[in-house]
Amino acid sequence: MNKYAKKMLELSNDITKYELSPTQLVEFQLGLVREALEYFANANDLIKKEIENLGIDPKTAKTEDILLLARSSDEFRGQPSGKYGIAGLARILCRNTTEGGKVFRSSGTGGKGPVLIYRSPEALEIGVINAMGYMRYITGIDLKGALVLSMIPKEATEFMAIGGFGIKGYEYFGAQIVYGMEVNPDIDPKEVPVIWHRLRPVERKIGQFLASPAKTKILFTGNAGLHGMLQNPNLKMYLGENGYVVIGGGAKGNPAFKTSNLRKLMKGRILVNGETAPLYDVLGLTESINILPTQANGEVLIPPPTMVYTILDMDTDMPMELVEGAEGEWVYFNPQTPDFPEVIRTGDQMKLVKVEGIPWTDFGLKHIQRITTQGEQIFGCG
Amino acid sequence: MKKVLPREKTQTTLDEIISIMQNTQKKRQALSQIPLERKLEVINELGKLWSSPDYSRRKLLIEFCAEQTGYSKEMVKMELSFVPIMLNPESLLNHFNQLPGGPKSIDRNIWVNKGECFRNLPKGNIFVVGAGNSFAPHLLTTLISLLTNNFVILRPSQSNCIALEEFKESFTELESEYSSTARIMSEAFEVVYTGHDSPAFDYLLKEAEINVFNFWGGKRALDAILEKINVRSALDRPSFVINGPMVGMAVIQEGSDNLETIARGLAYDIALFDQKLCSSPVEAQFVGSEEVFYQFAQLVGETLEIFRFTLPQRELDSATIRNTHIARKTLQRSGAKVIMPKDHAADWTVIASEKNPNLDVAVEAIGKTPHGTYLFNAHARPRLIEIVRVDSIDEALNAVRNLNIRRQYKDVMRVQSLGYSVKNSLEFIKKTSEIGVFRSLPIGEMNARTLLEPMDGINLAIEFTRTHYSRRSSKVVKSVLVPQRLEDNVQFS
Repeated sequence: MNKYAKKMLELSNDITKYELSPTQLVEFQLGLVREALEYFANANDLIKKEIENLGIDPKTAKTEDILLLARSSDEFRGQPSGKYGIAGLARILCRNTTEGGKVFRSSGTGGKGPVLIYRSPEALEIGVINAMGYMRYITGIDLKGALVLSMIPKEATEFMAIGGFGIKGYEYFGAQIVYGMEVNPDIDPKEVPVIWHRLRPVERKIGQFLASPAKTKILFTGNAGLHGMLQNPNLKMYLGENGYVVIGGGAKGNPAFKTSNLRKLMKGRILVNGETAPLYDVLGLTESINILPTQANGEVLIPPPTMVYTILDMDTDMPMELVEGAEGEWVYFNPQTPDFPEVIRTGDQMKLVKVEGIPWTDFGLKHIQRITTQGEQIFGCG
Repeated sequence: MKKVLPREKTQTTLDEIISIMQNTQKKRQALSQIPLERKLEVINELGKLWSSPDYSRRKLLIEFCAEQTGYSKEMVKMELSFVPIMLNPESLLNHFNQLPGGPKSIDRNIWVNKGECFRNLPKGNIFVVGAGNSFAPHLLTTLISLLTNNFVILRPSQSNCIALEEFKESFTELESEYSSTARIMSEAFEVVYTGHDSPAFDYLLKEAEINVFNFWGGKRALDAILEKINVRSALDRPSFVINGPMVGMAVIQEGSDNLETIARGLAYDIALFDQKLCSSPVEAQFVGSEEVFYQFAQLVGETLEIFRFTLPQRELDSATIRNTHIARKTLQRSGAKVIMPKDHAADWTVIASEKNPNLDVAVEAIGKTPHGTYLFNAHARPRLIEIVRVDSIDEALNAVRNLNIRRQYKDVMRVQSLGYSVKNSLEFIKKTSEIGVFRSLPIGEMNARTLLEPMDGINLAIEFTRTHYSRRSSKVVKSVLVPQRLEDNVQFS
């Protein structure tokens, strides 16, 4: 494992980062950015050239300089090809990690080609700890002995970030996984290429979860999945003494799948200690090694302390002053990915909102909408 | 209260199309009874109507087209000012000079040489399918079609439908001495609007009696249409006149002219119709020193900033704005110099690149639609030009020759217009005539056409007619053909 990856792995395990004050965070992030610039410049010639072209000196760089390297996730879309089975990411891949690894892909429900991201064995290890380590911090719930009902099929752990980091993360921290969904082998993948459209529930497994006496029971699903479950009028689910519901994937444009609606539908039906279970909405990106969860029943996403981010003015593309109410395109850098500079223009319009109870920051992000990127103009004539 | 055009074009039904097609022969016959000269007189009268800025239809269309197409009123006004220019009889007649037998061969047999004659007859029904930006091409097609005694069915974009219908209506407003001729002419063309998948459109492409198919637009639409036409048997297939998709390019040589003049010209060619024309330059090659190159790029930017207010472009959508910002950032990372408005708005961008273009990387980064079209293709970019500094004219012309080898331009048929400002234009033109472009023109007038200019490598009057040839006796053959071969091989009884 290279020195940088090793350090990032240590950082993932280091829970003191959650105790940093906003002032300490500034120094902490600056150090991470300079180290990352140095590492990536040495690991990939194109990145090195780009850093030079932008006039950045890794030794004296400012924190926000790294965000100039941001790429739109659309750049990573395409059909799998080459040794690593990726598309646009190949150009900025740093090949100084261990052989092996996996390629994660986006769900493909957006109609465009999937985002394809290579994860080295190092990145997989870091990601597992990052994602669920952070979830453990936000929820305050220990995962040892917990039982997780995953409505994402086991197959997804091989090629989707939500499985490879999320489900694997729960396992890493000692939870047991029950898969409540499976891929229907009777449907031809050639006819129905999107895996989500080929799933079927495994009632025996769901029943096993419902009947379990475990103290911590976690329901892990998508917005659409939770909505589907709640359509059953007889559904009553007990998540033990300190379980919770965690959802992700967004409403996909369907108002019924909105988190606020799901919270209403859950009332009195999914319970923890006789109360409605807490709901955590999580934003996870295929291209990210980290997640942004809300606080319990919250709507504001909390960026982890390792994440450097800004909000871009949508007219001028200039970074905005990060004050309450700032709204624009969210761009972030996550130093913990050793395979490529994870600096992403997300295409998500976010608004900066005040939050409480988070030591390292006073702000979180409220998701406003996806910025349309589908505007198609074809060659005409005249 | 502001008067607006009251109607939106509704879809033409299959029954309506069938009924139109049943009468085309009658209408063509009526048209062929009118001498070419008389038709030109009517067109001249129309030209007078449309040249008046106070003409009510012209005024209404400025409001309507700006609203429908999103182009600024200034731009629509400019387009409408081309209408009377196109209605110039002298200009139109030029298209007929290349016909065997000349313009008069439209009306009758023209005897040439010793006992040989030509007559140019209409091909029949012309179906014109056109996309988007400007209705001027449809107007030219219609006029040439009428003058060659064809019947024409126009299927433009919805916004252009109304403009062309207004043009058709204007025939009814001529003085009484022209009215009967004008009526026959206006009845020989129909403006229809049909959806891409409508039975009416299918009928026109697959079954109707169509003799010439004229297309203006993009590759995807063309592919889909050709697939439909191809269900016809080989002998039932119309002849094709395909225009587009094409783009423009420019070559500038340091010292050829005042730098500001060239910059102003290039910026104007870019700003015109928001760079959406087949003649709009999408890339320029600068032959000269590094220092003057950057100065020039800066000047182009400064002029585009002026046009931002004097010739405003249509309002940009959020996807275009975001894509422009992504492109700029990608280019800056690639080491290109990116010049943009001081307020960083997406309205215009000049990219100054050394030796090789950088824009392709940005276009790839922004990606494709599910249909495989580049989202940031040449016609999706808001007034954006890359200027590449090279060392020689030959290097510059190589870039022009190879443009559509590049992936982002694979949907482009070819470079239509090459704008230039060079020291030795005669030498330059000698070279450009051999690199596959249709037109080489001074910078600043890449869109303009003179009376003599053919239509992108073709002559519409020739495309819309078939020539009938006759000769009077075999003596002609003996005297005109190669006599020796005939004497040797042919036995005359």
